[in-house]
Amino acid sequence: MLSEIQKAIIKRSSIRIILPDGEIDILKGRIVNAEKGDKYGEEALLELINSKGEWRIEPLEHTPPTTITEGWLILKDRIFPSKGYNENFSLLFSKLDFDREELFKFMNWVKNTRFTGFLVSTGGLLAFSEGEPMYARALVQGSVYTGSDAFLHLVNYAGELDVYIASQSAVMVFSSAMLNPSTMEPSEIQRMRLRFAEEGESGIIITHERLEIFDDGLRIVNSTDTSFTTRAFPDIERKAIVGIAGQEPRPIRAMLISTEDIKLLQDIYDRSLKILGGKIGKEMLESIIEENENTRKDPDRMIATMRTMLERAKDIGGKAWLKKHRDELTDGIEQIKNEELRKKLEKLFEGI
Amino acid sequence: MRRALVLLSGGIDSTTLLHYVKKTLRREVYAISFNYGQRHSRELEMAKWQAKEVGVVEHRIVDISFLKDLAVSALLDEKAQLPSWEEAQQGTPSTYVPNRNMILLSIAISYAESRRIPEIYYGAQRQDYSGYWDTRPEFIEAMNRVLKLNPDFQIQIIAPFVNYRKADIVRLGLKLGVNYEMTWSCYRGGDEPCGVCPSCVDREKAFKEVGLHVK
Repeated sequence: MLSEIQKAIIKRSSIRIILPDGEIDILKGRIVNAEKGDKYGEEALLELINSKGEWRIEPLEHTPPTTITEGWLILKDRIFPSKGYNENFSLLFSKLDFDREELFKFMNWVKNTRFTGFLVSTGGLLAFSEGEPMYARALVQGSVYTGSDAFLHLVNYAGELDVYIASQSAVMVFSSAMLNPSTMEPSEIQRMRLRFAEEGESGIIITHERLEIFDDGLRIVNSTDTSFTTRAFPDIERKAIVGIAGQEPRPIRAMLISTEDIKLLQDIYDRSLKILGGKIGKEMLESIIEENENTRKDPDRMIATMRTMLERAKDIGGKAWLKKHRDELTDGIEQIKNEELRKKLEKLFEGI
Repeated sequence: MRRALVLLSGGIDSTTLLHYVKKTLRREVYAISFNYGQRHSRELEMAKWQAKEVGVVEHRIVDISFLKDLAVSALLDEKAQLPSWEEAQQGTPSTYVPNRNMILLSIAISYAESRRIPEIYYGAQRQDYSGYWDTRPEFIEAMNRVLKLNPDFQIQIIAPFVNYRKADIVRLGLKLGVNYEMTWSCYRGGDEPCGVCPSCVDREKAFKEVGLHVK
């Protein structure tokens, strides 16, 4: 039953879980009501979650009275009582399998609940602090990407996700330390542990066997969950990644847009390449095509490339030439649903 | 029987809540109302009547009319013009009393903690979200987070109608046998409801939606 509750919360669905002696109502992903005999609210919820009886799920037809006004932040410890729960680092959901639209909803959940922790997929991870992405790392065909490139790759090709909830200090130390990582031999690890402890420094040590996070010399995370380290860092093998925290990490700025909007943007981008390509010169076009595979995954990069091409085409072909192709270049912009993206594109082409 | 405190204004939402907590949740009910200098203090007479009707253990009416001298609101100033229903839908209306609900809840918390009452029921509802920040689920959740810091006695604020519209509340109240003639909504005060202030219009719309014509 817990996994059904988890799924309903993440997918923001409205369901009623009916048990022999009570019911739990979830409205748009929020647990709003629980009733068990004379008991209501959180007290009833805790008893129902731990009851062994059979249960079934029905869609929630009517809004029930809200007897649970506790939000995620309060309920999370109670409804996800994972074994050996550690407030600094604990597995919350295992192997969540989302299609892209579901992942989109999940990312909204991460934002709305101000989630702090890690999302781990095969070959990458995202670190979130209060719902903001602070660090992203993705291994793509042997190369390591970080920042918005990694974020977009993980969102587009995530696969199954493990979700770890962590304390804010653990995430911030991790994100800061990963800004400047170095690879070491395992024989160096003990020396680094001593250094963190003696100098009161903050940082991380990652091997396939262990994840350690030190905050002001204290080891606040010492996890032997090898699934985290081997899935997120398949490339380190017998080495260790060590990082010392210093520079404050900044949130990653990346637009999260729907599959339909990405498709529309890619169509606009491809058309721009075709129309403007003939004007901008062979050298520039070649460098754009060389970068094309990465550019086509990143909305901001597509817009930046189109801007450069437009400026160059304007210099060479003149304003009149651009004006002639205006309708063709801008076709499809009005169908884009993401307001931020649509406005960026409108602004890009407004000068023509 | 579990004890519960209901914030009772004498309007539709909190009166229905009072009946719901008593009749459906079967709590041992305490009620608290406030004279905060509102123009429509007539609602307090209704609150008294309803508290007696339901049979509460104790009904306290707390005088915080000093708020009238501190806070600026069309609800506290006899001379101020009340907004129309349409005007009241645009952002925060002039009838908003700055931070009133947190003040009322804080006093209720003090009363509840002193009497070892673990639940405070608050009649926030969905139609007020847009204009009144202190009726939203996030506000209630945040208040509950603060209350969790109390190491000695755990109190929870519960808002059963936070996802309801007013018509949903009336529908439930009719099932519970609430006498809505003994409730007061009009912001203007006076002997008869004005019928044009936002609160009167909301009331009429809700009754109309469930097929009733009650003033």
